[in-house]
Amino acid sequence: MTPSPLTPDQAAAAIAQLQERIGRRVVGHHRPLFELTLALACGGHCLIEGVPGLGKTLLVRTVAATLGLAFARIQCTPDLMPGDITGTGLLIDERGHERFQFQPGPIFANLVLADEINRATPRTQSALLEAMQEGQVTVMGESHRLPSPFLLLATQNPIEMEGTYPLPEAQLDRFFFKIHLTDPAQAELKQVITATMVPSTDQGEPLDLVALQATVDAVLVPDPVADYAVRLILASRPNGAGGAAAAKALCLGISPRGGQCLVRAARAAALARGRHQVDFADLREVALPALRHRLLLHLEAEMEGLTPDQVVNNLLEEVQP
Amino acid sequence: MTEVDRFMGRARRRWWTTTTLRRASQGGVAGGLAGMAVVLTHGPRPLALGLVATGLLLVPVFLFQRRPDEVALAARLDRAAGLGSALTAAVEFRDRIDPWCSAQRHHAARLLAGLDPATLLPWRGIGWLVAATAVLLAVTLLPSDLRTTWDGRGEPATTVPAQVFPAPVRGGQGERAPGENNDRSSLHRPPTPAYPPEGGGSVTPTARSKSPLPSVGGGQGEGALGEDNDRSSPHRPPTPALPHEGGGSVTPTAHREPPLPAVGGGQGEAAAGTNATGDIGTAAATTPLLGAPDRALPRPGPTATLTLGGAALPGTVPAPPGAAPPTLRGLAAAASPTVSLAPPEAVPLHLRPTVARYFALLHPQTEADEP
Repeated sequence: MTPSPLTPDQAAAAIAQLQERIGRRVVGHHRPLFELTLALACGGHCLIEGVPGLGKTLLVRTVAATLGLAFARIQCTPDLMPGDITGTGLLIDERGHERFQFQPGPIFANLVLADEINRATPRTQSALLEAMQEGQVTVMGESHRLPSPFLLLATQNPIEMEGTYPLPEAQLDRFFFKIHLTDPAQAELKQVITATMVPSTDQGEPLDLVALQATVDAVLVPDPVADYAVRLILASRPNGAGGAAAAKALCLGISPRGGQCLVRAARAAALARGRHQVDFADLREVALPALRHRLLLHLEAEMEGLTPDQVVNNLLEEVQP
Repeated sequence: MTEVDRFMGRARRRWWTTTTLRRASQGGVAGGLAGMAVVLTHGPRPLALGLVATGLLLVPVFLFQRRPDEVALAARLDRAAGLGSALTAAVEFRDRIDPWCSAQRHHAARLLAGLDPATLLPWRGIGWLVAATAVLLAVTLLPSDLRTTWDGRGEPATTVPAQVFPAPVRGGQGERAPGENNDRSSLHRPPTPAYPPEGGGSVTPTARSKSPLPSVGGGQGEGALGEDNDRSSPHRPPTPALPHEGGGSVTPTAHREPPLPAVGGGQGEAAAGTNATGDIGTAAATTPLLGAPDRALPRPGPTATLTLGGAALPGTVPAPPGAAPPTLRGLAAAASPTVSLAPPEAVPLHLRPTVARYFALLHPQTEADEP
């Protein structure tokens, strides 16, 4: 049964309420919190990057508690096997009749936290691909549907790279947003260190995430806005016809899937502003989290200290509505 | 009809009005410039006015082929009013029967309540309109005497009258009158008194002057004397000596093309018949003055060369630029009592005192000897 969409005002109120509830426990991080809310409204998986101790895990647990979703955590290590994530078939002996019975793994939850995902081996990382893209896993030739909504929130540490397996481009492209957590400001830091460590259990009524996700699809995308998104995507192609100067630092531009994510995130951003239609400003607002992990920089550009965020900003500067 | 449709209708009319005026003005300016070009080249004025009218009419018609559609106009209004894309979405999805789209149109109508298309689509063609009016007035009222700079035949209106620089006398490119009076007539110079016809020579031009460049020492002409028909130009073969002493016969061999003004015999030949009895050869002066006046280009001034007894005097006597030496007679007198002179007829009257003073300073005794 398809849930009835909310009105833009109701959707905007729901998004604001989600932010407010998460903000009760997670101090600061207003921008990452907003981006995470948009990703949740779009049903997108997020890669959260930040140094240890910034509250990545706390953020994800709080989101799960706020939404009233089933939560599971996977601590990724090099010896983690794919079956440890997806589940495995157990041999069951029932009065002489042996049969395999599927034992679901931790991925069968609404909200899954893959902590330090870059510490898992590529084989284990690839076990997440099918789940992220198609919402199902296949074990012993049998596909199993994941519960809806299914959201994967993965974290990784950008500093400590020893013994890690950087995510391949194909898997990075499947993340809806890449959210950067930064150090809190002085006032927020003071609030963090003086707060009690006891987690609050008062989260109120769970929010209807499915209705919110259905509302995002109803947001209108006018032709000029869609054209602008296309121009932005084409401008990121280093060898394309409409390639921008900023794209010279790139080996790989934005994929069509990246364009889809960009427009869908812009729909959610428009909804968060209480609008029925996407505006140019919505596209520009969500461009950073939606595109930064889809750009592959040249080695020379990386040596010069250029970051994907700078490239995205240059693209936005170069391609105006 | 919804509020969005009414607003778009007003905006469309406003856009048509402003764009038509602006583009017609642009076309009028273009046609007017073409019309002015026609007028300035003595073309018919109705043709010029027709070009203006064509510009006024055709350019808008041509440019309207690229007029924006409704969505583009709505996007422009959105940008002008700061509505994001509300009006664009309302126009684009106006035919969709959907509660969400209906709500969006109502929302857009609320945003459009206080807006006026006239403020969102301002008139920006005032400059073009003024320019078109000015060009049209210019094409219509331009007086005919102002438009005569070139008469269409390549003749500039500022051509200096020909009589300022007199045309050369026939055969004057170095030709000398034979016999006792080898002076040539000039509009600006009184006739030189004739010399006594001793020796009775005749002077015939033999030079074939091709280059208008000045030459030194009668380089473009040749001077022939009775017994001394030596020439000072190193580029020409010597003329055989005439048979009788004191007199010379001159064979006309000169052929010049095109005729250039002769100055003091410089470009032609100067020869003295009876006067050339002595040791003195010829005094020839050349000038760079050519057929057409060109005062902007600096040219070397005229030179005068004396030849004594068939040998050229060392060096040339410098002369001021733009003038031929008018006092060659004094120069020749300083060297010998008999001298063949080249009349400086190309020197304008107002420069002759200056040139005379110049040579007087160079050779004071010459001036004293002159009568």
